[in-house]
Amino acid sequence: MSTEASSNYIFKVVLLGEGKVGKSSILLRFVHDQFNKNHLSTVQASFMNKKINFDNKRVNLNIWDTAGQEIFHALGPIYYRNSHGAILVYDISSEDSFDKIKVWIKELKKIVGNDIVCVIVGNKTDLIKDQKLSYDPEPHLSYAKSVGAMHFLTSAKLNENIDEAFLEISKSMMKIHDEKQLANASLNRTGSMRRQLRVEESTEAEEMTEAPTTSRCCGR
Amino acid sequence: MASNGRESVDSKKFDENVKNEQTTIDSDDKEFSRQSSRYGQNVKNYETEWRDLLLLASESGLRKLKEMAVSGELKTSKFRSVCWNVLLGGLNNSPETWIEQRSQQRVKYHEIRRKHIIDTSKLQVEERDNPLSQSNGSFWNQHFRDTELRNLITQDVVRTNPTVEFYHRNNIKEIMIDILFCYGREFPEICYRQGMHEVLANLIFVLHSDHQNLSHIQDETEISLDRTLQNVLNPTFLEEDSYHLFAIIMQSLELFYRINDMTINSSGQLISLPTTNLKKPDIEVLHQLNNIKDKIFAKQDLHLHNHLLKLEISMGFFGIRWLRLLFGREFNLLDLLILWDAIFGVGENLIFTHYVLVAMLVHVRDKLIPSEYPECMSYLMRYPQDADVMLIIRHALFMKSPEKFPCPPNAFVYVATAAKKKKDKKTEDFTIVKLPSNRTSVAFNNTSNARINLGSTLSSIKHGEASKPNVGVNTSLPDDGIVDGYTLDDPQVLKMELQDNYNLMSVSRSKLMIYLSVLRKHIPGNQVDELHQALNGIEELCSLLKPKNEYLFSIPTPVDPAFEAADEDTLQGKATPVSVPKIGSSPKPKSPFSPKTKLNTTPTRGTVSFSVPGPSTSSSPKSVVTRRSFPMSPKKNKSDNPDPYEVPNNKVDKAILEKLKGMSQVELNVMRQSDLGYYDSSEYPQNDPVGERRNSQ
Repeated sequence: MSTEASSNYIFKVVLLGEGKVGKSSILLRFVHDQFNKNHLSTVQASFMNKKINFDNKRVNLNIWDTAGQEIFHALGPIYYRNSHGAILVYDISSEDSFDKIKVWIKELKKIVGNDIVCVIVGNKTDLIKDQKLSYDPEPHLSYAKSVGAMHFLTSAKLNENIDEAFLEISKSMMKIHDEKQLANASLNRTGSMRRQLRVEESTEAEEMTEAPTTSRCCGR
Repeated sequence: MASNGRESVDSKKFDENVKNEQTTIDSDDKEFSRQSSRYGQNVKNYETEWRDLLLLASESGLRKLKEMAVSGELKTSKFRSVCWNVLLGGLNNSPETWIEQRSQQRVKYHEIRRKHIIDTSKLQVEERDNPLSQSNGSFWNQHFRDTELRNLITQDVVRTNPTVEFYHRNNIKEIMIDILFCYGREFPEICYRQGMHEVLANLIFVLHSDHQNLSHIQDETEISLDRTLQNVLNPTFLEEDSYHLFAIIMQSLELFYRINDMTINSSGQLISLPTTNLKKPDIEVLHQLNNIKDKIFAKQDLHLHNHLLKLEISMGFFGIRWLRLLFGREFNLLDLLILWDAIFGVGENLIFTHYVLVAMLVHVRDKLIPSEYPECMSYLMRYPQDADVMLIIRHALFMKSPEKFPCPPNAFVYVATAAKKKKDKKTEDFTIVKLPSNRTSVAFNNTSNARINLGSTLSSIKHGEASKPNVGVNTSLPDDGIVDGYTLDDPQVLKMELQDNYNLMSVSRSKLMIYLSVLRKHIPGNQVDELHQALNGIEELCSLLKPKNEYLFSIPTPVDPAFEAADEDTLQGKATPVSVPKIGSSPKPKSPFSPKTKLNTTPTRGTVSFSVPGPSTSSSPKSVVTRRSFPMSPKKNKSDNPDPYEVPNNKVDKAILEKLKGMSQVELNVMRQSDLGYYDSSEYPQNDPVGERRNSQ
């Protein structure tokens, strides 16, 4: 009832993380399967749309790629408001960039709520080989676990694990969406039953239950 | 730079002045250029352009310079950076003092630089500071924060325009980092923010090009050029002069970077003030964008405005970047510089950016209107690179001061009717759509929905007629009470709006009739009642589309300029409603379907193509023209309901007729199409459309 005919699901996903960790590259790899060594720095944000098929269901992803530098605090809410998922990217060669992720997670949970699906992505695994970088993912993995986020190690350059990360976040978002729908459906039923009894309250209940379902699931 | 006759006279006078004041070059130089080959010609042209510029830079010439800037005439200027300086006040109106000004500016930059960029190797001895000290006043602490800020800047600078080699020369990168760093330290409340680097990059590029031009000319000639010229465009001061120009532009541009209740720490990180509510930082550029939206956008194109509103696309998503980079990512460099010429030419704290933003939106309205959220967002976040920058500028100028600038006659949007693919351009697939004039949008906000539904065919009709009368009207109006060049209550304007509106309703009605007839044809009589109810509903809607105050419609439909004298006579002579019923019941045409012949008689501007099957009165195209009132009621052929909307031709107001003359063509075609629809429906009476159809075949 709420989705477009062409897609079963429409989700808004936002890419967050410090500057130059590879957010735009990850997105470029995922959407167009390209890699550009000399990428322009993202100013403000950029937007891409990708439709994927999964389990015979069509998923339409509206993905916001944000600028690393000042998105925090100042402009962030514009982009992550109403997001269904967030991909938090850090550079495995920079511990600082991981620290930033912790702040982000806090911020997201505080402002968007617990329903947002968070995926933490450690990018640039190609550096391990190329620059003989030693990297121990263990602390990052345990942190991800502690906040209920999935964790992926990716390389946009070598196209490693990028699709997987997006697929997993889609799966989780679909699951949450389905659960919500189910909950809404039952709410609806109680709402309509109440309507027969008391008119004033029923309109209120209707508004409450209808709002999320008619909003085309990505809150637009 | 182009110069007209009057100017060259002036320039001779000016030459004399120059001779008196600066006896350095003139005579020698002219001798030289006369003798030398085509290289000499280059030099001569270069010098002429420079002298023209000196004239333009003077107080009296400034107006002309501004005109040139907004009309794209600085495109080929070899002194663009100087022009920009003059336009923005970076160099004053007396070129004889430029050398002095430049040296002051350069000295000032050196002071700034010395203040902020500290050479640690020299200072180590003097400072007894402990590098590990955390106190704020600590020199070392400052040094570490400086390093942090520099790293932040460097991160962006090294990623500037990866495809252009120029920006990846080490000296250019260093210059950019130093300038941005100095600016950040000199204006700590703004500091450095992402985006500034691209503005600066373009400035440096322009300055560098001017330097290059000068050095090429110097290579070609042995005599020395104008001292001022050499000084102003001295390549050794690329950094100093770039900083100066950048700082001047930032004076206005900083508004777009400002975040009111946030402050920036000295490492370039944003931190909120203690009182700040974390959820809603007060971002100045969003206020600006809201202003633009309410004060300009809603007025210029309410339809598109509402469309974006409906999709919940806020201006912030794309507008922040557009404004902060001065549209740097939205156009290719050459177009961008032309746009900047205009923005700086208008001046007034870069106010023109507001109008450019709206003009850019309107320019892609044909792509936005039929699109949903993802497509719209994609268009806005990746603005089509092939957009006509001059058209956008002219349209923006018209939006800003309609009393000074005409609505660009070619302010059409090319609508790809067939293919959505951007690259797939075939001229014949395009419909030309006139941009809606602002008053149309405001006045007809209630009809916006109708416009959406009827699609681009209708908008081409609707918009095609919208703006031509404007020019004629607004010139004679008094100054007060004018909104964008029109007094809102000017009766003529109101009449024309009414006419506009009326035409829209008529077209809607006729198209509905067409659809109705098609539906009726395909729905057999014994079908479910509901369907017929729906059809009757549509018919009812058609009747609702009839205007109520018929007496207001004494404005005639314009006369087609292609009329033959005899036709016009018939038209004017008949005071009574033209006999639509007669034609409706006229003998059936022999050929079942020949709209092409009809269209050929008057070339349409928009390719209004109706795929309505059915016979048409191809036997006599002219008769179609004469019957052009508003014959859309299907019941009319029963003649129990005489159409009250016929225009009584004897009430023709000649003055208005004159004004409407130019736009008759599009409208007439509309009427023909509606005629077509009307006949279709009249040929298929509602109760037995199928049978009738068979008969006619």
